[in-house]
Amino acid sequence: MPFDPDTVSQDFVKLLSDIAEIPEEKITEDSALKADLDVDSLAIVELFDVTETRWGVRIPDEDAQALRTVGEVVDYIRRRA
Amino acid sequence: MSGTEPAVVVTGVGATTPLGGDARTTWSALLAGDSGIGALDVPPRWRADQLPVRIVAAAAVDPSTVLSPKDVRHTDRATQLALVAVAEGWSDAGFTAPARDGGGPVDPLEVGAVISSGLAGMTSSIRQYEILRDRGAHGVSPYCIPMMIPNSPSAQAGLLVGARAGVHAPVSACAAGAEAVAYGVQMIRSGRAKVVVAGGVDATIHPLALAGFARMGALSCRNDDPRHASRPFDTGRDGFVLGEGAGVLVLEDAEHARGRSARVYCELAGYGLAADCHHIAQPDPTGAGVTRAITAALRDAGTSAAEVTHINAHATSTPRGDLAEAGAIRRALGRHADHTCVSATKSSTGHLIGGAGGVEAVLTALALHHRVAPPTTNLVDLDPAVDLDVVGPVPRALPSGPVTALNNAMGFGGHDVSLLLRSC
Repeated sequence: MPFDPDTVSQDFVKLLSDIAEIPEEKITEDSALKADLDVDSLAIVELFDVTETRWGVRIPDEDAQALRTVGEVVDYIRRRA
Repeated sequence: MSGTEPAVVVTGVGATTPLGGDARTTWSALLAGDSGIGALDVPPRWRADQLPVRIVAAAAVDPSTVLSPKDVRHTDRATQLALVAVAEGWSDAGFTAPARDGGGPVDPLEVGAVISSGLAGMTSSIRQYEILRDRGAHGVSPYCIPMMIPNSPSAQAGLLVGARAGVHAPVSACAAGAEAVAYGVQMIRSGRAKVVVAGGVDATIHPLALAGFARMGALSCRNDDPRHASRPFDTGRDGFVLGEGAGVLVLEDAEHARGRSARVYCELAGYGLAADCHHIAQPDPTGAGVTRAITAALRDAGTSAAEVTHINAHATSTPRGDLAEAGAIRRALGRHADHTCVSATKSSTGHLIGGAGGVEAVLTALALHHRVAPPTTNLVDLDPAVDLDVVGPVPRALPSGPVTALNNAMGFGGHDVSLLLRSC
């Protein structure tokens, strides 16, 4: 899909909601994927796989490990897409 | 069993089969003489036209239409079918929520899960290999290994019901579902668990399985007549029809069931296990292992051949296997076999591999509960070498009063299992 920086946050939250089965209203940019949302390590791999496909952003493993919150992932996509 | 061990009863049933998406629909369709067998309907990349066998018994309800998208993405189709059957069984047993610490319907430390398969994970293994080949390692699902492991249906079932007493998956090909039930009985008798979901599943409809079984000469080649292809004990039988599905019993300590006023279908009164030690795939033509399994089940239940009224036979519709089992039943029951009606339900469901033992245990429990021996739909001309009273295309009433039934299962590798169920 075409990159639209204004909707990345909204689209990523929807994606995360679908993959981890968390209601969208419980997800904020400050939410930590593991600590707050209890997204397990396999689901995070799946989430980044889909993110890469959707926005064409390659996320190397060392970067993936450093991305802690929803906001950090969204910023990463905005910078690299 | 010893006199001090708890009796085990069946308090719930669950199934998803080629005849229906739940146990009740499956049972009704079976009695109505429906067939779950049809033409293979697969993507063009499978090149089905090049397969020697193009008939299968696919699940009547695609489990991916019932489960959440997350469950579907993270599990093999066999696990999906198991989850559907386990959810039904758990609910049918009267449990409205999973076992959990402090306040759940049952203590999780007293709940077990034993869901076996022959080849669970097979199609996921192949699919993930295709992804690896075509897109590289980065494309492989992080759930690849959890999807592939053959204990996955049991592990996911355990997660679903909250089982912490133990989760097991004895693997014994087409006898696996029945062996799982036997293992579940053991868990309760030994005091490890009060409630166990136990049964079998498989989902192997794939060109590789069809080609592999066909190369063994195990499959029916009636591509133009799928409905009549599976014909156990009939002179016209020419092999089994590959199917998919799951069936589970909820086994329960009888005292525990009484304590919560649970509805009881029947008692799971005994089991017998044996091995042919004859050939990796062919049944021992003498049927000695099956005879020993039946005899052991009778002894375990403290009953005799004279009490057996009904048998749900393994009878897959292969020329050799059906004969070996028929002879084994006759030898185990002797003259009492004259008064035992034998049903071969694979005539309607096809052969669900590891799922067969689970589904047929469910059908045997329902036969006792409803007092009806289900039909052998395609039995037109009984093989004269089969010296048994086989129920034909019309269901037959079972007598009132105490009724005892056997459910046999045999698997590649020479595994022989016989379960003994008794009316309550």
